[in-house]
Parts: sequence; structure tokens; C-alpha cells
Amino acid sequence: MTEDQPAIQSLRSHGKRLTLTLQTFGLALHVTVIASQWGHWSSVAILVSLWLAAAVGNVLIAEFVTLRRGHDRGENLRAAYNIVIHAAIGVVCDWSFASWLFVPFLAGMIGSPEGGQSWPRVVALLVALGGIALVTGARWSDAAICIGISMYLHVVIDAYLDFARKLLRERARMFQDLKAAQQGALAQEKLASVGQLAAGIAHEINNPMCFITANTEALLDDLRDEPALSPRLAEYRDGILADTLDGILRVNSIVGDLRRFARGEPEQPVEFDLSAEVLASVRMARTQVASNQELHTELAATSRIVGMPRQISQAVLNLIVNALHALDPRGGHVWVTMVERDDAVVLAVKDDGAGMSSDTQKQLFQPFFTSKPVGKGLGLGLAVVYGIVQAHHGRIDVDSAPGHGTCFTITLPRLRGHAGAAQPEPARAADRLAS
Amino acid sequence: MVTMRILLVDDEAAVLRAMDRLFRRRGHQVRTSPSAEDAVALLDSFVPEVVVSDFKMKGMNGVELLRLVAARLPGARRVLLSGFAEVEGSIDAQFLAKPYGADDLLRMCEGVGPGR
Repeated sequence: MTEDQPAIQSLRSHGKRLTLTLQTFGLALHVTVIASQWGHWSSVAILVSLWLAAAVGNVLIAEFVTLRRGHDRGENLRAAYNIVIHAAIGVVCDWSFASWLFVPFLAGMIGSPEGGQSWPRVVALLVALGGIALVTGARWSDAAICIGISMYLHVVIDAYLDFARKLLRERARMFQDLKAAQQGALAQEKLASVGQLAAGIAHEINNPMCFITANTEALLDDLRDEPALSPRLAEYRDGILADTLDGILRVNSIVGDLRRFARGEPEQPVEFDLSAEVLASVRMARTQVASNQELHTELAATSRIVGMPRQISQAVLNLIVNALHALDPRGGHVWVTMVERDDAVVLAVKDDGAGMSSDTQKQLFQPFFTSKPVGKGLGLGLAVVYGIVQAHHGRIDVDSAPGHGTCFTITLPRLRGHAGAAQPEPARAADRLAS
Repeated sequence: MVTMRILLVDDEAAVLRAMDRLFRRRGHQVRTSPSAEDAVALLDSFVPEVVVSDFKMKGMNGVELLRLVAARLPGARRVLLSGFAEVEGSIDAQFLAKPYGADDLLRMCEGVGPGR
């Protein structure tokens, strides 16, 4: 953004110079016309009054018509008003050549209507002015020359303005595209580095957890086999070690989630029926659907894809359970839909629940980000979904607004043909991470 | 239950001890090795029916070790342990993700459920 500051400043000073040039040119025109009437003081007085009327009238039209009743109406009125003023100037100056000088100036300043062209308005103005001039005693050659030059100037100026506007619009669009792409790339990069960190942590915790789990299980088994335990050791057998194992299993499950987020889930890619896996997830989710909630399924596609069916099933289940949690306590709906689109299959999980702010949406896929109350979720669910979708070379998008529900869309590459179909290479996280 | 000769390879001594105890108590004949190189040397004096190896170790890694075992003892059952899944597709061995459950490890090595 900072690189743009000098460019904007330079544009501003350009604009100031242009305004100054136009004002100087306008002043010179006024002086020329006054000079042509020098000595005819009543004419000079009328001219000055007409110019004042023109200035005040144009300001009033801009203020009360253009701003309040639309650009088109304002411009039409302004054109008509300026014809009357200029016709009056022509009559006062007896249509001397100097009195025609304002006409090209005026024609150059007439703007285009929205989405249309300005030349019909300019032609109308010039024809009307020419008509009045000829009727009130102007020489037809003066009228023809001035109107011709005015038309030419108008066409040239209008073409340049149009070109400049298109250029600016195009530049603004390119800038927006670039900004969006940059933000997307930054978010991806951030998630990828978080993924590597998560995988590293998961691996380091894994090793000790192996023997901690095995040893605690063995100890509990041995204590159970012991016929006569002291009351102290019996307490370990009957509660403490079970609690310890429960805690260990929880840690193991978090480590497992972190690994799935980092695309390390141990599952061989196979070709499978995506709709069957989605239906399996829906069946599992049904156990969590409350009586005032409805879960609708509409699978219009029966695509086969190559990937890890258990992971896909888990991703869809996570999304459905999240959607159910987002519903209003008084009830709501969740829709699971699947459609084919060219070489992709698009899976959507939509709810009419609370929706999310744009801030929440930005952090959605980061591990340990959660909007749920403490103890209700670790914030790994969507991070895992993200990891799974990435491992399948797919993409996940979210569309949501507070109070308007949320729609998650997963787009996965579809298997086309049979032999030699594109197989997603197994994620190579091990190559990246095993140092 | 049939007793088997099992070779366990892991550079983490505590993991080795835990696995050693698990298999020993089930009556198997167990040898342990802290590195792939030591395990290869051990193959001269001990012919295992099952080799369980960690993936990431200093020196030769688990995949390389199990490939070597497959060449020397084609009948031996091979199990690779790893926190990383991606090695799974690249070798001809059974794969078990860490942290593994004792039941899964026994099932893979003994070929039947432990019946607990």
C-alpha cells in the first residue's frame, strides 16, 4: 500500500494542474469577450450578469438536481440552461466571433449519461444553439465553423475520458484480484507452517505416548491379576489407573487429530464411492440430531474418487456435527448435498444456524481455534477437515454471515474414465518432516 | 498359542522395553535391538518369524531394514511402526501408526486377535 502513496499524490497534483489550466483558459475567454464589447458598457454589464447567472445556475443544478434526482436529469437540465445563457450572450454580442468561443468549451464539458453516450446530448445542444443563433441574426459560416469544432473537441475529449475510466476500472480490478490472491496465499502458507509444526509436535509426543500407554495398560492388567492387593494398591486398580488411562487416550486422540491435520493419517488411497461414505457420515451424525432439528440429504451425484474413504467420512461427519451445534436451540435444518461439476464433485454442508463473523471465518481452519465454550471443543475439528481436503487435492470454501447460517463447500477432483485415472499421490509429509 | 521368534527394533529404549514385556508375557521368544545396523548383525544368530521396526532411526531407517529382512527372510512377517503414515504405501510390510494399542500390535504380529 505504501508504494501507492507517491502515485496517488502525483495524480492529485495532476488534477490540480488540470483544474488550474481550465480556469485560466475560461478566464481568458471571458476577457476576450469583454474586450470585444469594450466601450459598450451596458453590454458588458449584461454579460457579467449572464456569467454570474451561469455560475450560480450550474452550482444550483449540481446541488439540487444532479445530487438528489440523478446525474442524467442534472446533465440534461444543465445543457438546456447553458444553451439559454449562451444564446443570450450571442444576442448581446450580436453573434460576434468572440461570442462563439464559449461553445467548444461548453461542448467539451458535457458529460456522458450513466451507461450511455454523450453525443446525442451534445448534438441536441449544438443544434438548438445553432438554430437560435441563425434565427437571431448570426452568420451561418460562423455557426457552422464553431459547431464543427465543438463537435470534434467533444468527441476527442470524450474518447480520452472513456479510455481513462476503463483503464482505471481495469487497474482497480487487477489490484483487487492481486490482493485477494495474496491474502489467500498468505493464509495457505500460514496453515502449512502450522501443519508442519503440528506434525512435528505430534511425532515428538507419539514416541513417549507409546510406552506410557503400554506400560500403564500392563500395570493395570497386572494389578487386576494380583489376588491380594493392599488397600492402597487396590485404589490404583479400581480408579486411579483407569483415570490415568482415560487421560492418556485423550492425549493420544489429540495427537491423532494433529497428525490428520498435517496429512499424516495412515490410510492407503483407494478408489471408492463418495456418496456411500457421505451417507455413512450422515448415518453416524443422525445419533446427534435433536428432535427439533432436521438433517436433509440430497446426493445428486454418485461419483467415484480416489482417496482415503475413512478420512472423507470423518471430514463430512465433523462438518455435519459442527452444523448441528450452530443451530438455534429452538431448532433448525442442516442440508448435505452433492453435485457433479465437470471434473469435480462438490459436496456442501449447509445450516440455517447462527452463522459466523468474517473474523471467525478467517481463523476457522487454524488448529486450536474454537468459538465453542471451554470444554466443548478443542478447535481441531475444522483443522482436521482442512488437512483431509488438502490431502485429497481438493479445496474447502466457506460462505457465512451472522444470523444467515453457514455453508461449507468441499470440491474434490472426480475420477474420470477408469484405467490411468489421475491418482492423488500419497501426501509426502514424511519427506518434508522426517529430518 | 504358538510361540514365535520376534525381533523388535527401536532407538527408544523405553518403547523396546514396553514391547519386549508385552510379547515376553505372551510366551514369545523376543530379541531387541536399538538400531537397524545391530538388528542386521543379529540376523546371523537369530532367525525371527516377526520383525517389528520403528521407521525413524539414526542410520538405516525402518523401511530400509525391512526391505533387507524381506530379501534375507522372505517368510518373516514385517511390521513398521511410525508416526508418519506416508511410508505405508512405499513398502511391502504391515504398518502401524504410533501411538499404537497393544491389541493392534499383537494382532499384527500374531496374526489373530489376542482374545482379551
